[in-house]
Amino acid sequence: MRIVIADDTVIVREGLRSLLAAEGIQTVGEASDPAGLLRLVALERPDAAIVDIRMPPTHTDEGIAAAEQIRGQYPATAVLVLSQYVAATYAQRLLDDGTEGVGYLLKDRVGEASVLVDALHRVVAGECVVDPELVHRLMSGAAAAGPLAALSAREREVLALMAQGHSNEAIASSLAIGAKTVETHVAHIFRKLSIDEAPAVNRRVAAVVALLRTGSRMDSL
Amino acid sequence: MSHGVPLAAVAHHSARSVDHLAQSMRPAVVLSFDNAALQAAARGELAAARATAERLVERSESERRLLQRNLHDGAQQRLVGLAMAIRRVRSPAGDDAENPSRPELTGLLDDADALVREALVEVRRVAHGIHPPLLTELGLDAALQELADTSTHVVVRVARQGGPALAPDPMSQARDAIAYAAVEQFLDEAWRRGASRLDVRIQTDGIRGLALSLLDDGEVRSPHRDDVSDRITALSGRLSIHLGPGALAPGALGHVPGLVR
Repeated sequence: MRIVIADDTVIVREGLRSLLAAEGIQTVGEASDPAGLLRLVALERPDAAIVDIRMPPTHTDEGIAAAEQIRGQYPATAVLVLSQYVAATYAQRLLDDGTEGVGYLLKDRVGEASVLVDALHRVVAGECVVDPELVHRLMSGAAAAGPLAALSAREREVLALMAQGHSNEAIASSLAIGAKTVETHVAHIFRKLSIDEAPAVNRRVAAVVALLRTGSRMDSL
Repeated sequence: MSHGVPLAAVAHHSARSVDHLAQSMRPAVVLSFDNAALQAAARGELAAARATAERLVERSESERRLLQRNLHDGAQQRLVGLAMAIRRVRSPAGDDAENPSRPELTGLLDDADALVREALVEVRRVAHGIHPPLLTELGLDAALQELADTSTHVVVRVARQGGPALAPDPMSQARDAIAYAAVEQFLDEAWRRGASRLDVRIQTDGIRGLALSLLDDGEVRSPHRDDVSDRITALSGRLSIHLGPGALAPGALGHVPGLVR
């Protein structure tokens, strides 16, 4: 796998490069700002780009905008956005544009090579990755008392894995249940949560995240 | 006459001598002018003190923002780098896998790894306490929405009463930071009072004015004045507290810190 890294801190770029090299992932370029990242992607056409959300000039959400641009112009490059703190607003913005080959992870995960490598493989395979901590928080927040109250414990487990972007097969193996059983749970979840049409496999992550957030949002008065 | 501006006109019977009149009026006139001068001075000092308090709060908020950003862009990045370095050394693929002291080393590195992870969580928590980064990045409405998303004990719902959502506004950063702190603190207080729900309503009032209405279903108890209410007052805001039946449940506490400028 060939990747590029965009982060304005040298320590982080170097750390990532050597950590990933040990896992057989080759870093073909490094950038410290969005413009440099887009030039690199255009030149190298990597399998994936690891993008820090905070980059110059404003050090706020440059990474999200850069991810949108990459996915618009170079759809063959998957994007994994790293964030210092997980915010549903950012995850939603990232997923609103489509959920194929995109991931949103807490930056702390870079220390866990296996989590990072797994996320890279999944986004390169066209899947979607949402940080488990964000999903956990959304599921235990306002949504828990609202829309999720109707779900069984098992259905909640399935929903949490689904919101993290796991495929039905992956959910089946991590819960040690059959693929058919997962499908049944998913159908029940969508019906109980009144998500009208079961969205395409990848779109469902965006649907779930949006739904979890509505628990805390009242209509404008 | 004062600097050529007429201050008062006196009508009198011409029979009385002007000198006599001036003599008898002098003490009263001098006294009232002194009073007026003192009042003007006091008003001026009050206005200056208010302006100073406002500047102090605004400066302190801007320092908080800078401190938060330094923590995220400085300390946190270095800790992330350190976490990766520890992982690399810890990796069993290292050259000295045969080294007899390896198990001991691995144990030490695991401890270091756990510590650095705790430090990362702690830095994030402290940085958020100093100034919630999302407030600068997304504005008050979205930052409160994130606060609601992450609240686990009390179900928080956020609504806007009229007007568009507040985008990040450099002119109102101090106000937004204080409004956010007020909600965060009230949420904590509501939880202590056994609330299960908190409704937050945001209303824009004029150009820079803001009114927050906080209603919960907890036990009714008088909130205490504290640092947050002092910061509201320093920005010439108002904090009004209504105790009594609220919209959520009988006996709910309504708490309205109005940050009206």
